[in-house]
Amino acid sequence: MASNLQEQPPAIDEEQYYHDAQLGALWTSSRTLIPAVAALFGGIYFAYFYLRSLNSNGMWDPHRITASPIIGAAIMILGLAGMAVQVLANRRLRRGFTLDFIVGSFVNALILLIATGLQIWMLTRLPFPPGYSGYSGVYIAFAPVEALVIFLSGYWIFTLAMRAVRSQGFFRADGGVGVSGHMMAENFRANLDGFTAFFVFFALLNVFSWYLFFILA
Amino acid sequence: MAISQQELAERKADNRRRGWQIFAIWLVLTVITDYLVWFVWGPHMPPGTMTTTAAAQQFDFKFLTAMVVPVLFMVWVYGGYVLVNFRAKPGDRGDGIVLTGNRKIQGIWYVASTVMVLFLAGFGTFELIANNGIGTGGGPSPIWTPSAKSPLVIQVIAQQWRFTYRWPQFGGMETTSLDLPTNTTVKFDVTSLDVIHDFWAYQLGVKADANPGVNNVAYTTTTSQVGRFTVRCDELCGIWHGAMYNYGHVVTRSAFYNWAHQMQVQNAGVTKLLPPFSLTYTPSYSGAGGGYYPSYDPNGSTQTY
Amino acid sequence: MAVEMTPVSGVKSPSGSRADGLKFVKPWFTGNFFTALIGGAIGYAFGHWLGNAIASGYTVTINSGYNDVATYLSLLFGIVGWFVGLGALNYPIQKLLGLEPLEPAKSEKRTFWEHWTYSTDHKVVGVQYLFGMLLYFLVAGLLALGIRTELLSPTYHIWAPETYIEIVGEHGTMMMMMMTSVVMGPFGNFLIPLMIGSKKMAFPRLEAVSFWFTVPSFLILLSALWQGGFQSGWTGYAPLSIQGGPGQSDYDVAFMLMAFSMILASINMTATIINYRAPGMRWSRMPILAWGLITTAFTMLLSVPVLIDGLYVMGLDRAVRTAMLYAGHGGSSFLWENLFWFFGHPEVYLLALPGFALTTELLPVFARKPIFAYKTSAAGMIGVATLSFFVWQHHLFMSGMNPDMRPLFMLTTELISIPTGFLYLVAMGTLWKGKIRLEVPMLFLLAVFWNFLWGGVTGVYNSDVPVDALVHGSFFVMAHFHFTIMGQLMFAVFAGVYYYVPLLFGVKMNDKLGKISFWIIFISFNSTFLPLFMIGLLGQPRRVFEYAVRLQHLNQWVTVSAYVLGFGILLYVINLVWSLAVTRTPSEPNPWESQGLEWQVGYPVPKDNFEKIPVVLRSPYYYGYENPGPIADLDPSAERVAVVSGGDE
Ligand code: HEM
Ligand SMILES: [Cu+2]
Ligand SMILES: [Cu+2]
Repeated sequence: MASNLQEQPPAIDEEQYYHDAQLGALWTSSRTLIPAVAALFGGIYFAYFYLRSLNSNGMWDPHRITASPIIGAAIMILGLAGMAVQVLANRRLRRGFTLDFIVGSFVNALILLIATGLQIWMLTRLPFPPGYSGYSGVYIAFAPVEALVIFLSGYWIFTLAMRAVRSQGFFRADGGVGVSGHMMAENFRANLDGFTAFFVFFALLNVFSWYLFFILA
Repeated sequence: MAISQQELAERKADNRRRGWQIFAIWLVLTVITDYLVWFVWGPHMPPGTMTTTAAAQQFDFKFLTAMVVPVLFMVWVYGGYVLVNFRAKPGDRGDGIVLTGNRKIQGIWYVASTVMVLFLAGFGTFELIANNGIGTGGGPSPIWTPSAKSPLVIQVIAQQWRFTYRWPQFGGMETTSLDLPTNTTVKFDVTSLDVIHDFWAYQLGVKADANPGVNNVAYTTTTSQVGRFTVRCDELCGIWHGAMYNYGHVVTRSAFYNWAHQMQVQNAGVTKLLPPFSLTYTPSYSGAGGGYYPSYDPNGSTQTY
Repeated sequence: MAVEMTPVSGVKSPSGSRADGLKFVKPWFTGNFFTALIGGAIGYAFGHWLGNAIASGYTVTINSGYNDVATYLSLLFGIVGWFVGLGALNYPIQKLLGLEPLEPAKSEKRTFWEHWTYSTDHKVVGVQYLFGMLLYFLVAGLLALGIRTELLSPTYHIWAPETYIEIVGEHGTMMMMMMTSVVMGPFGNFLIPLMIGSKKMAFPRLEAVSFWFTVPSFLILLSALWQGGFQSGWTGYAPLSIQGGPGQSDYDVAFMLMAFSMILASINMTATIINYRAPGMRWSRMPILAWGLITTAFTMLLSVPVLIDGLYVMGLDRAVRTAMLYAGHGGSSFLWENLFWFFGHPEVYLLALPGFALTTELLPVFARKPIFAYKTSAAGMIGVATLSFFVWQHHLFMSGMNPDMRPLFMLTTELISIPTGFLYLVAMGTLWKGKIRLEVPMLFLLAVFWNFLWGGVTGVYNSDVPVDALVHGSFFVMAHFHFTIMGQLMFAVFAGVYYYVPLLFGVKMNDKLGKISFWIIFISFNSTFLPLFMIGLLGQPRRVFEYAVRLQHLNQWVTVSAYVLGFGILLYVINLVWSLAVTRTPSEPNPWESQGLEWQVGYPVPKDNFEKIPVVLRSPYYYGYENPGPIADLDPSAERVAVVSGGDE
């Protein structure tokens, strides 16, 4: 934390100090978000496994009806696609191609918006009423949370893309927000890094959810 | 910080002296109190000795209390000693000694507390198993069961806000009162028709949740004591939970059989109308379930609201 | 989540950036309690209308006569309106537009009015929390007296049975919700930056939002009272909770809001403690309160989401009639018990840990000695927090669920006593050969140990399945957790408030009144709850309005003691309010002669806490050292900084 303070003769450079702290805070908070969200989904997975193993009155999923597997798979794949786009976009950003990053991030945001929409649409056309079986209940619990987290991820990357748009001119001389040594650029990158870590985690978690609700059922 | 060797040695000697003082007071108080706990209070401890499980619970309660007494006195005696001896005199604004740890004391503490805790867990497990679940609900098929070949089976059916009892060995009759014979192993099959209740027969040392759709089995064995016992619902089950109690009796065997046969005859008309005896009951969807779920046939094909 | 991730500091508006497209913006407006109420009311009305528009034709609505969908939607939109009215949504919307929101200015001196507004100043938030939680506590305490009054007689009832259950549930839920934040909220927000030598919190907006979640949570929970309440108590066991009316939905939403508050506060707390420590504030020098709060925060982050799941599952079963908690359609009532207690047990420890941390923090000041076995104390807290995730089924020993696992849960539960015991070791060692000053906060601290001893040893009874067969669900358990929570946490809070009032408000509370109120509270607390152990052992279950006639005398004794206890607490609160509003006896800058960093800044705490970033030189517990030297250099020179950042000492 207190590294490279020796170089600053006037005691502590406070701006730098709190800037570093803020970068650390972004790291910490995005990384603590991951277990917290994992716990959130973990509760639902627990419900899934618990009810599945109890299979009260043979009613876990008596007719093996799942929610639409096509839309389910589509949502999962959209998540992975968004992840791929984002990883590529980030790489372009580090190389100084801010515009590519902006386009990539907006594409990702759009993908996530579509996934959100699909998830909600899917809820309106379920092949079972809510109280139909154990499975139907757990799926109906899972879907809105999934939609919400996808949506918030989309929001997050959208704010970053917008920031990149606005600051394009400002950082142009420095080689772009992905390269600049300016504090605001560092801050931006820390935020983006937090998002990416979270999002990769979440996209992978989606694969697991998909496996549970559509394959294992 | 800088204190001389001599001061250090003096301090050590003083610590030792005070340590022994505390130990002595502690020992005396503990021994006296434990004696009182075991021999004076012990025989009167709840929940009495009407059944084997009640007696076992009483013994465990006594045992734990005897174990806890030294712990309580350790803190109290130490605390009292410290407060009397190390209080700042009025006007003394000085500080205490510098002492940031003591390996030996800490080590003893870690080891002692670990040993005690492991012992208690082992003891609790032993008692649980040796007493066949010690009167607690052991789920639908308990693995710790009494050796008695054919226990008296009583199904406890809880519903808002009463208990009824069904007797598979007496023609499946259902009674609102509960009599038990002396010196008999009893198996309670506890279930519920609506929300979660808990069947707590205090003097019998039996406690088991009544879950809807689940059979929760508890065993006990009555002794030769006869008398009244209380049955209370011990899990919040709604508005009248507080009034969900009644009484049962342990009676001699002959009295019990008289009662049971009389009940069987008296209830024969009603028994015919009851659903067949089963370990759990699912209330009909429009019945006790309150029509909560829309009336589609869950085993049939999909229907919408 | 994503809403608040962007930092606000470090962003100075560089001149000329406007031209380059960067746009720095202030919040469009700052809301306050009243605008929030208006926003909330509008949102509520809208949600209600929407719910009726959607669901009033459903057969279930027509059959049951009330509309769960409308209830939930009105609460949901009410919350949205609440935050719009507060101005909390300025920031996320500005981010959405790619603007760079500026950190809202802090004022030199906190004003009274500021505490009603959406402030991001951690000192304001701390004080808001303090009074917010106090209000929660007093209201819930009043309800407790309602319960005790009913229990004066086993047969004569002053409340209708549904009212009685309603009061019990409200009391329990309100207390359990409030207690989660009663240390982290006020003390955490106000003191942690001061203690670790920081000028700010990592995420000031998160901190503000975490407080403003607690207010609607309280209001909604309270509103259940005139909506028929909820019959299911704070544990909300299904299917009873599925039967409940709109009041149950209030329980659901209110608890959920508190859960969000806890999560946000925890993210802020961990990020701050990890990253914002001043140079030289090593982990080994960190105040024990900070250790306690960071462990608590991690515990919350992992357990509270599961509570959200549980409440959400209940909400769905109620509002859209899924069947996750109903065995007839493939669910199970055990599911709720598991989800609830998977949070519920860590919860009881995330109430206890801050209490212990606060106690251990203050103890050295009054014992005039360093903390004994500092590392053990931190390790104890971490151990408790970790183990607390593996014990939840000890609440379900009688349930018939996983009966064969009971020996395992008995073991893990009893293992927790080991790290819990560490905290006694630490305290006892700290008192040895101290110069104990029996001032009012110290009295409360010592009482913490007396009280928790009862709570702790009876915990061992509860965790022992054979004995739990006797005590489960009875007043014995009720007495157990009142000793652990009220006797430990609330006493620690009483000590903490008394101790920190000079720092927070620059005034001292009245010592004489403080002592009187302490003795009344302490004695009447014990005389209220010790007999309850006996009452439970003699067979009285919890949450009942009728009991055996032979227990009447004991119950009356308890009720009268409870009144006295209520009076004692009132006295304490009057002392607080009176000192703040009327007498305002100014306090010396560091009345307890503490070495803590938080006391070095003087009153009023400057706007940014410290003129310059301090350099911490040593642990805050050097009592008894001959020349301890200052704890921190508040105006560090370059050499000092160089030495510290060198890292070895
Ligand atoms: C040595 C430590 C402790 C042990 C071994 C322990 C053990 C237990 C057990 C086994 C139960 C379930 C009893 C039953 O329902 O039959 C219980 C209940 C409870 N405990 Fe503890 N406990 C300890 C410390 C604490 C602490 C520190 C708190 C809170 C600050 C706490 C709060 C509670 C609460 C609220 C309940 C009752 C919940 C309810 O049923 O409504 N306990 N405890
Ligand atoms: Cu009940
Ligand atoms: Cu617990």
